[in-house]
Amino acid sequence: MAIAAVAVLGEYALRSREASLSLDIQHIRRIPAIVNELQASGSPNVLFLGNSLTRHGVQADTVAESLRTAGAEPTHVYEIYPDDTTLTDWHYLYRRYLVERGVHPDVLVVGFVLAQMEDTQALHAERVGRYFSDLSAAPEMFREDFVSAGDRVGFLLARVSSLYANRERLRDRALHALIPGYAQTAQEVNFSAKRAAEAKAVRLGPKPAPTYKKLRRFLRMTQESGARTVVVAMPQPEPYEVSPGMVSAVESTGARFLDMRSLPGISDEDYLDGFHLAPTGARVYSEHLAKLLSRGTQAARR
Amino acid sequence: MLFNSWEFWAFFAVVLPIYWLLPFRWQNGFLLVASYYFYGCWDWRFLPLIAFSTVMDFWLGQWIAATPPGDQRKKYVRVSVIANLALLGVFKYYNFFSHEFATFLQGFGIAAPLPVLNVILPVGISFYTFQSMSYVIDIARGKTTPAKSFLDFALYVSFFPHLVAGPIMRSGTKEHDPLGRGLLKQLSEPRRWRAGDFEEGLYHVTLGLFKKIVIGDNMASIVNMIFQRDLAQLTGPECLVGIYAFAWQIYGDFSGYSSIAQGVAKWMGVDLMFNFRMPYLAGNPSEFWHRWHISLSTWLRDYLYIPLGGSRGGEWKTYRNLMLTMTIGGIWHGANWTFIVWGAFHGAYLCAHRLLGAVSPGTARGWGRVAAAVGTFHMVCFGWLFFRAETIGQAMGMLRLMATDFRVTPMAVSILALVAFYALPLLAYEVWTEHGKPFPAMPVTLWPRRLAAYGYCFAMLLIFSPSIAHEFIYFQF
Repeated sequence: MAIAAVAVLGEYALRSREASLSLDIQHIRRIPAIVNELQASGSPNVLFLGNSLTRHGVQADTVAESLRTAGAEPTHVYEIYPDDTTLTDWHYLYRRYLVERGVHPDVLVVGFVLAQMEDTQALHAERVGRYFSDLSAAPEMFREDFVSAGDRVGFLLARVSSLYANRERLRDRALHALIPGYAQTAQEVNFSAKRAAEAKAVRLGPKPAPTYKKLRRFLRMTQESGARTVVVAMPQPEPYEVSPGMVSAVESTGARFLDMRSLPGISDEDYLDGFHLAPTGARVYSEHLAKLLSRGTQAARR
Repeated sequence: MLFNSWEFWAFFAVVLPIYWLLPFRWQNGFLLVASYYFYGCWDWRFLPLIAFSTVMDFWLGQWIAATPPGDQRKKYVRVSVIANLALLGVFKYYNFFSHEFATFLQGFGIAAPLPVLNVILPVGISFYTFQSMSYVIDIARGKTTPAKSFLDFALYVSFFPHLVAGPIMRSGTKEHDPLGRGLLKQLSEPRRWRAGDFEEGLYHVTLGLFKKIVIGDNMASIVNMIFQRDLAQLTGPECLVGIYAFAWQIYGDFSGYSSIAQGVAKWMGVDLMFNFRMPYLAGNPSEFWHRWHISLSTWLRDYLYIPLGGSRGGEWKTYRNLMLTMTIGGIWHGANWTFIVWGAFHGAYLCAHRLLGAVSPGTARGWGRVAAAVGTFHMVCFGWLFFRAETIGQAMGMLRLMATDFRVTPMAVSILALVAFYALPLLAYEVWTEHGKPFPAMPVTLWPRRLAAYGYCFAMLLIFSPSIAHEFIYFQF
């Protein structure tokens, strides 16, 4: 009983200061306000949905300005980019904050790199449970995505406990404060785990062809909500493959695919850390993207 | 189905209430089905293997009991030992020894392309075959009586809490025996819900989960990182802290499993023996082996070391028996030269301890005791280096680095701090427990202490469980 009381106190304390845990949580907490703004803004509007790649890579002002320059009507541009999210997170986020509220953007732009659209992407049951969904989505979620007991329990625990949902953040904060050189060591450990997983995958033989069932489900939902959806392969310093299966999955739902993996004017110096675009690269990317979006919009009007 | 998975706890949440609602005879049948289901979750194809071992040893036990002492009895014992070791030999050692044999022949220019068995090791096979064998040998020695019912015996072999990683339980030891109450004996009698069982079970489960998830799994990521690196990318201090991390990983992992098994069994009214008793507080190698994997070390003592002659045939024979016992104990862990060297090292360490007439356990006091424990810990760590290394070459390379490269890098400092952060509280608790009466003292100590200890464990489990759950190391043995 005493332990339960301590846990409840800890939970209460964390909930009251949850937003101070990270900028990411502050952004997540702003999602309802962003959606309200989008609803109130009127047409035309564009919503960028992604992760930290979108946060660093898309400059909303540049996109709006470039669209205007390209002859489009003044466009309202919004961004939702919770860190380290992929398709499943976006699916339930879009469902909760837009579909269930009857809101949709005119154009939804979803940026990805590498294999982020494949069905095999890691699931974040805790984050989905705490921030991106609620119990009304549980039937779909438990049928389609969170099929293991661990993920289901993780989702349910995160619904009731912020401590549980934010344990990785809390752990990292504590270890950063207590352990000298923790950031560097954690990076090495993660890198080593990734390399071991890749080596294991090689030992297990050829990888089966990727599937895109979740992507189709997501795009059907966004298209049915009324948003014209655009899926963008974003630039990276190292070239990466885009599977024809993914492109056909996008096109089969009526959504549009833009291949922007490699853009003139973006070099290795335009990346912050070998993964995220620096402001110089983000500017070039945002301008190119706006041009392509404007062409697509005009073609759609014709 | 791992103890640290929600699947296991969902399974147990179904099994436990049904178990207590059933009458005694049905309880055993139900537990047997649950245990086979539990085992089948790993790989149902190995269920016939455990069933074969069970049927064979049950009938051999019956025949031995019905046969007067003599050659026929010995023959039955031999059949059990050979058949059980053959199971181990085929699944665990065949590929290793055939490869080594082919390499040996190649040295003489003889090509011997021996076939390779492409089979995975059945989980827990080393544990249940040893347990089954001890039952047959104990009947032949008159130390235990044969099971009255096949059902009881089948459950004794497959009882799910200890099925895949022990402890290796004897069939009929007495309550006051250091090996705990005999498991077969307990399963043959009606179980009662005893006062204090819930608290003690909760203690074992909490401590076990803490050791496994907070210490074992967090150390695992660090250890894997160090042991996967090229030697050229490491320094001596990094190797040293990597070995410290492994010492806590393997202790947290294995003793954590044993503790959870004990707690889960306790909630079903069954006592499993203590498999670990604060091993890193040992002041010498002999004491270490009285505290580490007790069910295996006592098994090796009773069924190998003593039959070889133990310490009865003079000093040299004692050394020979120690070396043989510990080397075979090393091979039990796996088919690799690293395990053989690990076992032989511990044999040599025990011999050296005996030869030097070192201080007997418990006589050193104060700082002398601390120094002995620190020294023993480092010798044990030396053994862990061979145990964990992929090859002898890697172990030797790391030893060379530790002897020649003293560059203290930020990563070495960081890893040492992580080891201290996760393991020191457990070590402090164990020092307190060492002096506590009764053992374990925590379930009956004052409530503020219990609150602090359980609160700490739950908070650590909640916040500091790593993103990746690791399998229990001893499942591969």
